[in-house]
Amino acid sequence: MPSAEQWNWVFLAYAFTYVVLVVFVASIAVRINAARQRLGADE
Amino acid sequence: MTTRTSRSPRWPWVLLAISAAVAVTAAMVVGPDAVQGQLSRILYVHVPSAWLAFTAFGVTMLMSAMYLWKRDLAWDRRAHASAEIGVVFTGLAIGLGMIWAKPTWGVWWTWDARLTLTAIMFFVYLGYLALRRTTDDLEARAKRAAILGVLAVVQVPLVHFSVVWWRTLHQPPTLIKPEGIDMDASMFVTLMVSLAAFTTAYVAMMYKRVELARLEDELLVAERSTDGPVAGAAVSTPSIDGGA
Amino acid sequence: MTGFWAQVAVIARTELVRERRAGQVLWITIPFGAIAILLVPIAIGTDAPMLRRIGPGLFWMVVMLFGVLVAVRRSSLDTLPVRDQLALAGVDPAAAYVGRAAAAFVLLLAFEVVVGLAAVLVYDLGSGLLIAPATLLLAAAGLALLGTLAASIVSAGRDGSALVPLLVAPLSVPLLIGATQAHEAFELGRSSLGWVLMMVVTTVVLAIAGVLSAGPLQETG
Repeated sequence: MPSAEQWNWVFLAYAFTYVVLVVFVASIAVRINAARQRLGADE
Repeated sequence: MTTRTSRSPRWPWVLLAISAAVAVTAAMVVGPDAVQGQLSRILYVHVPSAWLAFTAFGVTMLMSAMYLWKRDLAWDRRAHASAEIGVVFTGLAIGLGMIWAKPTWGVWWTWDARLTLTAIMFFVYLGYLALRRTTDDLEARAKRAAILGVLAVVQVPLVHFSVVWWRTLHQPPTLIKPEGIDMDASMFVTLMVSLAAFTTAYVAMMYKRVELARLEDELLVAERSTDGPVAGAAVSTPSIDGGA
Repeated sequence: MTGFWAQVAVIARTELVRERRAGQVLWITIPFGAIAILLVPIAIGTDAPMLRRIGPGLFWMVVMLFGVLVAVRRSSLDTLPVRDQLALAGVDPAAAYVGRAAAAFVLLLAFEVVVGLAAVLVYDLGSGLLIAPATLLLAAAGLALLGTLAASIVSAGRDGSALVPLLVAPLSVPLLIGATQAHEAFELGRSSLGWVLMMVVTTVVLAIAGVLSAGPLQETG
C-alpha cells in the first residue's frame, strides 16, 4: 500500500479519536454546567 | 472534597489538552515502522485506548468492592465515572482496531481472542451503565451496581479464558499480531509516551467525571426534597386545563 | 444445615407451583424458543447439510438468548410483601436465591429438552445433542444461577426485565463456548472433558457469587 494511502487511514484514525474524545469531554463539561445551574436554581 | 459552592477547577482541562498534544506530537514525529509503514501510527492511539479500557474497568471493579466494604457513596461515584470513561475508550479501542485492521488484514473484523473479549467487555460495561439508570435511590443503585461490578470481575476472567481457549483451537497461526513484530527503540519510547499521556488524560477525565457524578447525586437529592410538596399537591383537585 | 436446604426446597417448590399455575415458561418461553428454531431456516435457507452443520450451535444460542427469559419470569419473590414476609420469617436470603435458581434450573432443563428435540427433528441432527447430559445440566445450572442473580440485581428497577438479558448475555459466554465446544468435541470423538470442566468452574463461581451477594441485595428491598 502506498504511503499516501496509509496516511489516509492514519488521518481517519486520529480524526475518529479526536471526535470521540472531544464529544465525550465536552459532554462532561456541558453536564457539569447544567447540573450546577439547576442546583443554583434550586437554592 | 470540594463543596457545591466551590468553583469547578480548570486544571483537568489544561492537563487534557497537554496530554493530547504530547500524544499526537510523539506519534507524528517518530519514524514509520519498517513493516507496517505509516499505519503503525494508529497503534500509538489504539494500544493506549485498549490499555485504558481495561484499566478503567479494573478501577470500576476496585471502587465497587470499596463501596461494598465502606458503604460510602464517594466510592460508587468513582466506580460510575470510571465505567463511563471505560465505555468510551473501549469503543475507541474497537473502532481504532478496525481502522487499523482494514488496511493491514483486509477486513474490518477478525475473531482474534482479544478483539472478541474487548467487544464482550463493551457490552458488560453498557449493562453496568444501564443498570445504574434503573433506580433513583442512591443507596440501592450503588449497591446493585457494585454487586454487578464484583460479579463481572469474577466472570470476565472466565470469559477471557474461554475465548482464548476457543480461539487457540480455531485461529490460523499465520495471523500477524502487533506484538509479534519486533519493535525498535524509538517506537517503544513513543508508545510509552503515548501510554503516559493517555493515562494522564484518564486521571483528568476521572476528576471531572467524579465532580459531575457528585453534582448529579446532589441534584437527585435536591429534586427529591422539592418533589415532596408537588407529589402531595397532585393528590388534591386536579385541574382540567392543566393549571398552567 | 438442614434448615438451609429445607428453606431452599420450600422456596423452589413455591416457585414451581406458581409456574404450574401461571404457565409462563411452559406456554410462552418454551414455544418462543421452539419457533426461534423454526425461524432460522426461513431466514438463512433450508439447505439440509448446512442446517445439520450449524444446528447444534443454533440450539445453544437459542438456549442462551431465550433461556434467559426463564430467569425473568414473574417470580413470587418479586413482590415486596412476600420479601418482607420471608425476611420476617427469618429465611436466609442465600436460601431464597438458591431456591429460586433451583426452580429456574428445572424450568431451563425443560426448555432445553423441548427446544433441543425441535432442533434434532427440524435440522436432522444426531441425538448427540440430547444424550450429552453433562452439558445440558451444566448449561441449565449456570444459566439459572446467572439469570437469577441478574434478576435479583435489577429487581425493583424500572426497566428490570428488559435489562436482565443484556446483563446475562455477555457473562454467559463461557457457558456458550463450553457447551458448543463440548458438543463439537463429542461429535468428533475427542475428549470434551476440558470444556465440561470449564462449565463446572463457571457454574461454581456463579453459585458462590450469587450466594455471597444475596444478603446485601436483600437489604435494599
